[in-house]
Amino acid sequence: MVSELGHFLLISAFCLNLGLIANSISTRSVLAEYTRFFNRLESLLFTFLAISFLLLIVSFINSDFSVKLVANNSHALKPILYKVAGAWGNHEGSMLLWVLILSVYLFLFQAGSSDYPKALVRNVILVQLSTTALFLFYLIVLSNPFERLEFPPLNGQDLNPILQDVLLVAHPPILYLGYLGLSIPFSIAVGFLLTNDHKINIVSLIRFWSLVPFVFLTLGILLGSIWAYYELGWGGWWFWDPVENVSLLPWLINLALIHSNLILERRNSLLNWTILLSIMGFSFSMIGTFMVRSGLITSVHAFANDPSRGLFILLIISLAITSSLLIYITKRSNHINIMKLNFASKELWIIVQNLTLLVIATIVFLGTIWPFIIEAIFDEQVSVGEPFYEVSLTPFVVIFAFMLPIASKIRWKGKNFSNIRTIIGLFFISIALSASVFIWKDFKLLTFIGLFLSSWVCFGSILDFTSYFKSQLNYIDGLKRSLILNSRLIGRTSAHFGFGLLIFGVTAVTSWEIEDIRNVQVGESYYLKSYKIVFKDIDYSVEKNFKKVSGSFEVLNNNKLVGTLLPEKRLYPSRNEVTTEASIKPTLYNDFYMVLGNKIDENAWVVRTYIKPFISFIWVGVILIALGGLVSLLSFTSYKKFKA
Amino acid sequence: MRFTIFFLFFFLASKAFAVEPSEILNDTELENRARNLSLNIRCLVCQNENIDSSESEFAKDLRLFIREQLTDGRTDDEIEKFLVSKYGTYILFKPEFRSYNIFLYLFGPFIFILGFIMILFVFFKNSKKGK
Repeated sequence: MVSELGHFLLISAFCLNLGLIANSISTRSVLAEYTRFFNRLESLLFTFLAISFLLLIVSFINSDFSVKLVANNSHALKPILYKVAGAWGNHEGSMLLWVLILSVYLFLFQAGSSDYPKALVRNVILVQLSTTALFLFYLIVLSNPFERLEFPPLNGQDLNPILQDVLLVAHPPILYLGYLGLSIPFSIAVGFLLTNDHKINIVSLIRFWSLVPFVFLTLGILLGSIWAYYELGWGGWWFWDPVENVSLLPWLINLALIHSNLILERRNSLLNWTILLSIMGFSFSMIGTFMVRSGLITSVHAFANDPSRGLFILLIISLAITSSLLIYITKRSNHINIMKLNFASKELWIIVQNLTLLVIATIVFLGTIWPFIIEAIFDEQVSVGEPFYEVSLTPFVVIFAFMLPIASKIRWKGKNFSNIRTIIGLFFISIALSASVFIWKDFKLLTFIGLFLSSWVCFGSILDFTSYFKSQLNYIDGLKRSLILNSRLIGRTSAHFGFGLLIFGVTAVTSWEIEDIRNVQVGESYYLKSYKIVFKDIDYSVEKNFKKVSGSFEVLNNNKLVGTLLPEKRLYPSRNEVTTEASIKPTLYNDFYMVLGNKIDENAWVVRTYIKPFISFIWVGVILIALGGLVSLLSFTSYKKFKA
Repeated sequence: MRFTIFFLFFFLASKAFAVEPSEILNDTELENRARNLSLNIRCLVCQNENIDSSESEFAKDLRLFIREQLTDGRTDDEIEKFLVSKYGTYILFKPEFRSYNIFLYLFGPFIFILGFIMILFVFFKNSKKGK
């Protein structure tokens, strides 16, 4: 009964969605006075989908195995947390979440749009509704989460053990809030083109709705990366897996959008480019989904690879992308506001930054689809993986990071490098700082470049902050007020500083990681650098839905206990799969990372130990980047009024 | 009970486990070269893994093969060439810089240079107009 109701609501939502589209087309002339009534119906769309999704979760909690999805992805003995999260740990359920979030954003956009011209808002909503309708149609016809089984099994097949993790609760929803948040800049861009009134100022709308997905997408990717770090293997945090690549693409485009929108704001230029980036951001979100769901690529994320569905998603996405691009080509502004650029002007540097981001995205995209292109044209098979991306992306990341402090230090419409002394000073200090590290370590050019760039970016962003903050000191009265008034400066500093920390973390981990693989007897001890590691004990036990063997290791430094490591191997009988659970002891500078390998004999095991220096800087750096976006959003509390 | 779990693990754990202690060469320099080579070589029976981190038998055989070849004095290039001739270009994560792959390597830099020239072009056009 529960799932029938959910199914019914899903179909009702689709009908309502179609009705709303018809309404938003026709309100132009006939039904204008009913607009307010229909606005309520839009929140009803969100309500229907939300209840429908909750009912799916209820089916999972109740372990209703007559629902095909539950039978395939759940198990009566599974902990309640994974029963709930299992609702989106599969293709159909996650597509329902996808459509639900689209409607959430529609609802939020509408709620905050009262200051904007009615014609624009109506068109934006129309575009958003059309996107929602396409995916709802797909959901109901080809991947219905409420499908019943004629002969329900006694127990479910259980969720893929790799997915049974606390992060399954947070990673997909947050990532989706990022991916789908990009649908709003997309709808704004297409809606703006449809309105055909180029006098409307969409700067602050784009700014707000590109920062929201920026925060979520950054956090979503971070959570995925942390998850991979402790679950997938040997302590890697980025594998250049196709699924990771396609999540990076919309992030890069959105980052370019946030910056090009600054030029639109300050110089009233690059309108077409900003619109194109808005369209591209969500297009890449959709392309990513297509690639993950179609079975084109294989990875842990490929929980639904059914080529026939893939073809249909491809159709939907091509329809959405080509129609929006056609609208762009026919309706884009012909009046191009040409700015005067100087070598020392911020706008020129931001344009080059945009170009660099676009090139990085192009390389990632081309690398990801290259195997398919070559197979289609030459019928040959090639692989494109980590070593390729390292070689071809490093130069552009270096250019990008090198430009950052200069671009943020120079002025809009700047005629000369007035701050050239500070910049040169910063340059030499960074060189000296990074060179001094090699007193203790062996010299490696890439390590040196990485260290230089991290110092250059970190201190550059601090200098940027102090120089601007001085000129705005008179604004300070009360912490909250000054935080809001300076939120854009603080946000920018946080994001740029975080990027510097990220470079440092990546450099440190790739240059100075220590790995050790050996056979260890229970009771035996060994040394890694100055750390002594003791294999204390091995233990077998039975948990609710798996059996495990876990080792117990102590890490000592000068006979002082640093921490205890408990690496595990688990056996999930319901799927007959073994997973290894790494044990990690994070300290301020080092992560101790341990994996239990094969059994050699009664008392000896293969043990892998890693010491990963400064890996926490990667996480902290990315958190600061997301936080920067969040703080920047505070600026809307002070001047959210629409400036026509 | 304890015995059954013990037995199950013994049975299931019989698949190989990434680089094993017994595989590691005594010569650190050779071992480092082997590890570096392994990062570029795809495990053909896995999802998207190199042979260095894969647990499959296939990866283990290749790891041992590489180490054998290195001890016999072959260069990294020779080993990669041999593997390509045996398993095809699919085995390398970093495609060789030849024929159609040149496009893969140069397209990004090409876009960058093209874009840069375009920006400079607009820049010079406008700075002249400004005078």
